[in-house]
Amino acid sequence: MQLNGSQIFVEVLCEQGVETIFGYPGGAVLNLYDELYKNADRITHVLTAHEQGAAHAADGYARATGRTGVVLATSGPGATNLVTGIATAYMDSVPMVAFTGNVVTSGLGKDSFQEAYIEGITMPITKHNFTVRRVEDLADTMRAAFRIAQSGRKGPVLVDIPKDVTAAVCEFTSKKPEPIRTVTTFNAEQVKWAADLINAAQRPLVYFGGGVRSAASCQPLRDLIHKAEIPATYTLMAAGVVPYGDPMNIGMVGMHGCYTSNRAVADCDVLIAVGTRFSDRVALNPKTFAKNATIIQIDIDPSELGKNVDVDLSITGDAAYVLNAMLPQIEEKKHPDWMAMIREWQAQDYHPVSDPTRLMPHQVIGEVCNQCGPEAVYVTDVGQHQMWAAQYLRHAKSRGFITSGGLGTMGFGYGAAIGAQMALGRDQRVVMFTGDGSFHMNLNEACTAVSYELPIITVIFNNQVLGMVRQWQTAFYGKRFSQTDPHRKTDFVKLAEGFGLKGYRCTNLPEFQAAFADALKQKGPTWIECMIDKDEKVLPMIPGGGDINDIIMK
Amino acid sequence: METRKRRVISLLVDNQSGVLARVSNLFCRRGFNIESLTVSATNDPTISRITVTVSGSDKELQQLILQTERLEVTRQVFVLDHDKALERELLLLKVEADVHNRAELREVGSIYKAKIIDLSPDSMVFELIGKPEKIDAFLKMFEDYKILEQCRTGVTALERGGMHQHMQKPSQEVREAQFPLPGTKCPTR
Repeated sequence: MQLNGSQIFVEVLCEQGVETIFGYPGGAVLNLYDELYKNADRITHVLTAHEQGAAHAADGYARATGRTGVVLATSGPGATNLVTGIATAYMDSVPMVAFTGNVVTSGLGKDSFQEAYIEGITMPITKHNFTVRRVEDLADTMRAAFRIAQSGRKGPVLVDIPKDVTAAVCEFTSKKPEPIRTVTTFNAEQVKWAADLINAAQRPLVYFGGGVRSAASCQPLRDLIHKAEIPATYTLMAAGVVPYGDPMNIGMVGMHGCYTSNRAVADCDVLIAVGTRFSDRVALNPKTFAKNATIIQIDIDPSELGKNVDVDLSITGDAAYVLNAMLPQIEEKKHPDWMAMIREWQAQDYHPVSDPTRLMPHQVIGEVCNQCGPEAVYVTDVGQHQMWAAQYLRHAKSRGFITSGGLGTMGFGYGAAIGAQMALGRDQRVVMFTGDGSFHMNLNEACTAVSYELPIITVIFNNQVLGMVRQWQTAFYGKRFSQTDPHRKTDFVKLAEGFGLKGYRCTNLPEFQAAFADALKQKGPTWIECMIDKDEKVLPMIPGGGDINDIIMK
Repeated sequence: METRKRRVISLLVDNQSGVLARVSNLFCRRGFNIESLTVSATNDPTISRITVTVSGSDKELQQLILQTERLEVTRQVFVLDHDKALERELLLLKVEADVHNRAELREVGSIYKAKIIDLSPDSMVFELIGKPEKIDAFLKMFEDYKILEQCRTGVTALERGGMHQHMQKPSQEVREAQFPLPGTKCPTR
């Protein structure tokens, strides 16, 4: 069958099972958009306000479902606007394929209008990228992009398509998508050693990360911690993998993790690290992290094994396969003394105290949980509110807590929420937490949520300042608040109205309860601005380079 | 303090445009310190060989190999065995030379078996092929002369004997043999 490049583009997307893409049109992708117009019944295209929002939306779509997110942008500025979104996905190993148009092949390298060498720009922030110079290569290149994005450790792939390639014609034959290449192999002997270490442990601790987000690895992880009574702590990327109410779940670890988890890391005798990379926000001091423990690390990517912290036993493999092989070798066990210590630390842990004179973050988040129930999906931006959400959300399911961990991208939230809502449908409750700082970065995407009638509820923690940076300035820079107190006069309620959505402002808990209850009834998006104190802090906190001995609890 | 060793790494990669950019981009981003890097075609037209000379600890080298393995274009990475490796480098050296010192310069060249490939009234160009150490030693002889221009190709290398055994094995297996990840022995507590 003779097809042109644009027709091939649509055919391969359909072949790969893509139903929704996010993007923004422009000169170099006019042919592609013309074909999308003709195929609107096969592929839903979501138009965002800015390409960055589209990239975050594709990312949010992928995080919410595990499927590959797809974003399309034009050449030059369209392509460069994707960069932050691609880097965000790369740092958190999110499967995504970004398509960019480019100028015609004869104009490449000549500083043509809206030309950018996006292949070069995105080399260090993609798993791989391609420029398609011949229409004959287009279909297989796109197929390779989808394969690479989903295989092994997942991540973003970029495909750059010059405009003439989208018009040129060649023979096209449809192919079934290749099965996803999972890593099924591992060293069985090492798994046995790991099981022996765990069986002999007096004070074992599981520390898991984003690598166990997939449904296949959640269950064996939960089985492991229950079978051998092993307390489990997690990184920001893995919130929700083990339910919050689970007695073995002792909370988040790291810079803003709880005292109990950080203390348990310091005191455990065997640490089982699963799908996590000992990042500098967790292993704040790689020399003293879990220094009393024999460390076992399980990761799909061998380059992560022992990269940041020296480990004693490393197992290369997919957590699901490794844990399933390990489980039968794990003895059913109880660790009463260890658990008693954990419970004691939990009693001493940081617990926020409500103050009747002001609205506090934990109250707001607690109320959201009360009204939304366990099935809601939570999305955050980056900053204090992100940490509060991670600390105080009482329930989130796996893939139900969507946040930018590795790159820490302020402005991630709204786009990601749009992606999650599009992926899961309008009946799914999606709540976005943001701060006034992060929200100012990309709140333009509100127009997208209005256009597509997405009932995203945005909870804005407005402390009038850039709170996280201000908190550091308070603690370490003698309260010299350099550029963190912008005196913005934004009226979020009026601004909401301007976008065509409903806005609320709350200064106390009853107001928030009423506003949130009303927001739940709305068909379209809503904003709830929560006025909080500018000196509200994220606690506990361990400063960078520190350990449990440096923890700040008040 | 871990010992830093100089080693030569052979990197077999897909022969396609941009592959050098990908590899050098990675080395730059991860902060690996490269002494020399050469790229060449191989007898297989789909594969290029990148020969990298690098100094570092075993751990740094292991990271370099593991990170390089992550690239889609990488087919095989291995460290050459220093005892078996045939390392060669080409030097072109242009020195100021006139009637007074031409003879003594020629004498230095002939001891190192360097060829004189150009001679002009005021200059002389040597060509020398050898191990990097030999080239370093040769250059030391010119400290008292005026070097006008100098060019070194960087190391290119193969191992002695038949087909390199690493080339027939999966990259992961080779790496495990050369730089085992922690856990090849049962850890004791």
